[in-house]
Amino acid sequence: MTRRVSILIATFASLRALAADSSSEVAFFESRIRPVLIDKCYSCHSTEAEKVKGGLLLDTREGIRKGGDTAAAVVPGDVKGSLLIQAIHYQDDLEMPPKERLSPEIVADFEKWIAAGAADPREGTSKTIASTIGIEEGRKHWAFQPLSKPSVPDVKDTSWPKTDIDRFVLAALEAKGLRPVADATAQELNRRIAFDLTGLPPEGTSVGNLDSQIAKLLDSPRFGERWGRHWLDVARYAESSGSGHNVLFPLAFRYRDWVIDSFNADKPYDRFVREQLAGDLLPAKSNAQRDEQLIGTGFLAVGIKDLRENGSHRFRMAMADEQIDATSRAFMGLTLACAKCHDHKFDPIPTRDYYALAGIFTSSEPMLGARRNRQRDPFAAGLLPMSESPVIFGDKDMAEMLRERVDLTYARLKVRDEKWRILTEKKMSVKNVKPDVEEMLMRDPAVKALADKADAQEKRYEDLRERYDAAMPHTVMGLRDVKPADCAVHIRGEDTQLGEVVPRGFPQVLVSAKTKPVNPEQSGRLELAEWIASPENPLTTRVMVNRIWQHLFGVGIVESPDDFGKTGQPPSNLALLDHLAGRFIAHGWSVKKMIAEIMRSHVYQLGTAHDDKGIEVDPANRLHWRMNRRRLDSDAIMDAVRSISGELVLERPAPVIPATEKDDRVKSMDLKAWFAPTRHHRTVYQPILRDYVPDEWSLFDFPDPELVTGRRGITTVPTQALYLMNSPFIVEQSKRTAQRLQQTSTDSSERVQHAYALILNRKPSDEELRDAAEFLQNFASSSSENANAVAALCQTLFASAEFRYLY
Amino acid sequence: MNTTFSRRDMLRTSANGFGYLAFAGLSAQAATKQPHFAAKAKRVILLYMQGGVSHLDTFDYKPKLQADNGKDFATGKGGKLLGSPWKFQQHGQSGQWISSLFPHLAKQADDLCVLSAMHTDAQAHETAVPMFHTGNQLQARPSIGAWVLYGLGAETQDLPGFIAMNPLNRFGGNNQGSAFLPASYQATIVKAGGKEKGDPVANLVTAHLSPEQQRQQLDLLSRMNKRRLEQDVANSELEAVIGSYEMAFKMQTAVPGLMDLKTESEATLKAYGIGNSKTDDFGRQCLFARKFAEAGVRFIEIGVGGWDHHKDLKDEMERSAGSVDQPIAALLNDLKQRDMLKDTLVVWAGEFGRTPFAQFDNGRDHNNRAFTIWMAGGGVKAGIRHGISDDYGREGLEGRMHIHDLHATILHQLGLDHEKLTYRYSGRDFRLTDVKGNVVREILA
Repeated sequence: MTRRVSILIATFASLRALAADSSSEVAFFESRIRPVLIDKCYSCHSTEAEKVKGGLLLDTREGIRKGGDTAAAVVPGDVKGSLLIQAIHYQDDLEMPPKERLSPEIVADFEKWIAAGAADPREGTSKTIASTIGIEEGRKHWAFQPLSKPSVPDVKDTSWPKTDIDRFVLAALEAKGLRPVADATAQELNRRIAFDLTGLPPEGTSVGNLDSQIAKLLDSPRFGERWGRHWLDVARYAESSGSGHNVLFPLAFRYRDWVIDSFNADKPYDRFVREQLAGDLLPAKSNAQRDEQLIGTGFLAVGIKDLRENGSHRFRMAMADEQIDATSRAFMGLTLACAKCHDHKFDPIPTRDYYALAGIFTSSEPMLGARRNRQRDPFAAGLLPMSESPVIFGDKDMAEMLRERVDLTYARLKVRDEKWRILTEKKMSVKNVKPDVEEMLMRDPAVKALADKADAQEKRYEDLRERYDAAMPHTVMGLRDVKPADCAVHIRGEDTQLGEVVPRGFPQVLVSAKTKPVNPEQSGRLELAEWIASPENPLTTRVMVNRIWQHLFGVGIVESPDDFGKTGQPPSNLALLDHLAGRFIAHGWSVKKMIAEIMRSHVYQLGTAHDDKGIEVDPANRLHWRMNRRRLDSDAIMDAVRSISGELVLERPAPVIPATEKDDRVKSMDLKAWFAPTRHHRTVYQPILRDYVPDEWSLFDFPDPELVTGRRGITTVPTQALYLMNSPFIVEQSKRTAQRLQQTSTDSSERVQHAYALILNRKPSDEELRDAAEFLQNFASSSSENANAVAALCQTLFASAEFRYLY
Repeated sequence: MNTTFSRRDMLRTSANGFGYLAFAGLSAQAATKQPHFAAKAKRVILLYMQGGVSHLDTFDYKPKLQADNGKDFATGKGGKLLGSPWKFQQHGQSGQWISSLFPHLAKQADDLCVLSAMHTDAQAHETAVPMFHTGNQLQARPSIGAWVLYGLGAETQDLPGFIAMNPLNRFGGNNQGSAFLPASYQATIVKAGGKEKGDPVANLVTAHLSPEQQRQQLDLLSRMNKRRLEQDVANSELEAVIGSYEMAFKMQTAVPGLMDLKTESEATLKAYGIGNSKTDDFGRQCLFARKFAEAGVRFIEIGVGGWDHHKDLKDEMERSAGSVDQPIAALLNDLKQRDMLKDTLVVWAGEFGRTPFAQFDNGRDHNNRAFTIWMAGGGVKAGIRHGISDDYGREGLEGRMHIHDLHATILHQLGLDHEKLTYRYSGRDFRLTDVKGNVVREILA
């Protein structure tokens, strides 16, 4: 219907154009071309299309001649130069119409039409398609609004709240006619606090004074290991590059330890943010501080990379994309990387904003301290020295070493080729060359000359490599600035289709008059860091307090911790979120103080009991009428089992920086040997290699280290059950636990009590005691060793749903 | 009165889709989901030939390449043309051209739907293998098997819905993974036995307890969990845990039963080439694939590596083809005899093809611009060839089909619209086919 109307209008318009085009050519257009355009193209390429594809409009003369994102669709008289012809020929990956190819006759018509001058009577201006979301309109989204300072609400039940947090929670509950359930038992709270703060079970079964218990655990080095691990999920931390070629990142551990130490030292979160984005550009009072800040930039370096193409433009753009994605999601809960190819569909982020940020990242170089086989380009391969490094291995050395290594490969190949030439001449096989034949070959003067040359080459390479390996222990994996340059828009994300160059800067929707512009002499990371870590930024504090809340309650106030945009979930209690963000700033961005304040609230100390009204009104418990039952994550499960069995080693393992190998890819490493030294340590200290995450971790939803993961999945699958029933690890740990129990007591009933205390951190009920005693007796009578029975009991407790859940 | 949610109720009433269920701690895989439209195929068996099979020596006959053997390749790049060392013949009523490397499969020529103008974006194994499995070269994306299970759910409650044998973990870790889809959609890795040692499924076998002892232990566990459930009144997470033990227990019985070759006749074992060192490994995989298909597994991937014939083409191709030819023919036959080929889509493919010009005199380099794969059963046309490559098999000429098109077509046969099968992650709806892919209707029966 609409189409017919537009044809009518167009026909009137065409009358006026007759003067310009000869009537027979226009007739040809009208009879052969226009119907095809309407039928096959307009649904995606006209102003009436629901969604215009590729920015291309074919419904006016201007539009068809101007073309879309790529180039002119039709160039009158130039059949070959008209993109439309290439497209309908299905050439060069451009295949239009996509669903079905036009018949050869129709294609011939189009060629004929363009060759004759592409007569086109269709007047009118093709509209430029407006950005999907207006900036001003976009600012209205709750998360882009400045923090509010909500006043503490009045509540009906004034006796329940212990803190202001409780008043915000209770007010929301009362508004729905809900009441909080009863408090958790002391035993439940004891276990909850221990796992939440340290990722390990409590030492005893009673909590004692709550405040001092919280303070004690916050001071424990175990705290940083637990909360550091939470951050490492967000930082998509791994110790190898991933992506097919997967090279070891031998220095990544420094960043891991830096994260753990930062949480233990309660480094203010704004500083924590700044050091990760621009630690290399921040002023430092001492060498130690300078080095520490430098290590923080590891955040931007540890992402997935395809090092095979490290010299290419594509590599730089892919890296910037990865950094934009990680930075925007980790710190601001924004999915900015969506704006790479087109204006963000849901959030007010035009493609320009993406490339404004991209320029900041492409003006920096990661120094990975990792090399791939046969790498030629030193980009991203270099070493960042620490302040007092006795050995300096600079850019020139690096370039030289890479070149020498490539040359060495060729020198050796020349020797081989010469040997093969001789063997082929003698009609001998080039395979399985016997030692005497090898000797004969080496006596050949040509072979010998080439071999000597290769040996000399190898010596040159080896000298450099030794210096490189000597420098490694004094280097950092992180970022440095390179010559700053703005980045051009890559149309539809294509590396080959460049649009306007965009000055480096920040997403417009979040910029205010106070925002400091990018320093033209630097990459702009420093200003980026300051802009993100500013109390004026409405996202940064909200995102972080939400992460903290999520780790203490199982779900954030915003359920999607890495997406505060329109596609994310709205906050369940915005006033509470803003109250927390305000407190966070008031506490000097102290994570520990924030955690303690939340833990002291009544809402954190609630039990997990059922309530009919609660289930009916708020089944997902978004308003916190009770505490959520939370499954332990893979790290807590593994660490807890080892800790209970007595196997866990709590010291931080000594770092291992391996010497350079011929092949630094993970797949050629001896992985068993690589994992062995830390296998009794906490999981946070065990190696995390992309594509080689231990199966048992993945089984309990350890996240894929390619992706920013603010919230881990929670699955319950039969392979987990099989693991707990039969895996050598659980069987072994159960035996160790049984041995531990047997050392403490000879009395069967005491052992059961002790097992419950160790594994479930509570006393067993009389019924449970009876049940266990009966089990031990029956089991013992069916087996020869009593030890087996206790081990079987321990394993059953490990396998129980209660062990896996926090109540 | 209690508002108690049972696992099944939750699955049935949830309007939030599987993502919600994953967070609710449920074993989402168990639910069977309606397809978008009537399906032709209920399941897929993917026979993956890692390395990049030379189409020029197997299913894409190029007489001009044979005639021009030793001449320079036209564009000057690459080197001398290498004619196939094997003879091609037409087979069956359809007259499919198949080389002498596949004598057994040639007898099933009339079942094959040969696709001769495949192309892919990636040129290296490390990117082309994930491209084939996930539609993406670099980023971690769910594999096609995970998407299928997400779209259709499982057909059986006793076995995982996505099973892979001989997985490709050296080419990106995600070829059988679920990436951002819930973990329950990833493949369960099953070992085929033979030269592969160890339990068929990790931790399947109880070595430390007698069956009687394990029964006692599971009874105790069940009492513990039930006591906890009574205290909690309603606890869907706990029900899921209990359910997971039920399924684990079933798998302990069902999997070894299925993996027991004693239940198969001598004739069957012989037909698959089991016991013959050349064909034993893939023969086992093919027979297990049939057994899993019969038991209701939705997506089965089996495979062999070693097709990367940069040199020694003559010897190595004979070895590679020899190890799979008879087992694949037996699998097709077996499926047909059981009337299962009609709703089982069998796909035979590698990540790319190879060049018409020689590398190291007697090998071929990678060719992502034209290669050949085939499908059988599952509602695709039998005994046809779709797509034509040029005279040397370097480029596709007609009926070119990209990996995205292949994915769209496979999903279509399963009753899934590749544009509608989406999962929201990180602020956008993801698809197996990204923003591309067309169902190739010409090959549908």
